Amino acid sequence: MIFQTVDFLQVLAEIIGAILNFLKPIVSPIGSWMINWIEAVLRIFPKNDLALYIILFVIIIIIGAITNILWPGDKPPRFFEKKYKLIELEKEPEHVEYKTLFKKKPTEEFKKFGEEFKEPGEAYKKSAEEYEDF
Amino acid sequence: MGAGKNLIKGIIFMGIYIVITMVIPYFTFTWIKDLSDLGIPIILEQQEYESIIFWISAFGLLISSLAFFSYSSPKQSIRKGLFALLQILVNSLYIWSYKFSGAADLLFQFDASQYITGYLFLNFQNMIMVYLGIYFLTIVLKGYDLVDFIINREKIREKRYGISGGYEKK
Repeated sequence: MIFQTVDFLQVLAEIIGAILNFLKPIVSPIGSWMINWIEAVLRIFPKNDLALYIILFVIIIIIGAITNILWPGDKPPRFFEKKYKLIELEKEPEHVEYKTLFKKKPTEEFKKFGEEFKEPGEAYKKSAEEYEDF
Repeated sequence: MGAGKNLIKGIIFMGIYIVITMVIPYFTFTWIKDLSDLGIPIILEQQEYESIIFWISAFGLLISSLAFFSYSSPKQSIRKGLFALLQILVNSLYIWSYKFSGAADLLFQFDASQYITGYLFLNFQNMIMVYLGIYFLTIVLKGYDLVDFIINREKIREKRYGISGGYEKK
């Protein structure tokens, strides 16, 4: 047998066995609880009627395909777009990043200044003079 | 990710689950049904072979279809979380159906000659119980994911559509 001839597999099997034995007192009661609800649910499932499962399979596939074609998740829903347009109008006129303000490489002093304003909107709260100093 | 890519991803994972939950178990049980080892014919005395195949096919179909729905859904969406949880629950039923169908208690009968006869009884019930206990943790994790997707729905959408603090990211 392959498990008895290869030492590594033997050791691995013993380690897994030890872990499972250690976990058994905790895991087994959960397992028996799982079995209780599973047995209750399995009573509902029809036996010897594979056609029903095939129909369910086809229905789930069709619903899944239609749902994911209609809402693939790469475009925001209409209500979401409207909400964010409203928020945009309420906020500052236009956001310009620091990069576009300065063509030269930013100095260390400027970088320190930038770190103070992690949120882009905060920069507008300061006066324009502070920007010019740099 | 577009609809086409989502569907391809779903089809690939559905195929993987069909192989794992239906094709491999089907061939394994068919193989052990008439197994010969060391020249001694070992006949799997399993009256419920057809029952095993039935439950494997039934739950295999459900798991594969749920896998298609789950894997073709957008990342971190509520429907992905919901169908992943359903898939795990049906997986639990599938695992236990091995016992239910009789596959957890296997009786092998040796019948080489009138002098060499005997039987081997394998009981996997305890092993399945431990496995289901560990599986419970997976259910908890999937449940947590679903709750997380529901609670942080706005943040996930903002991140997904590149909208932050009322501004569209450029």
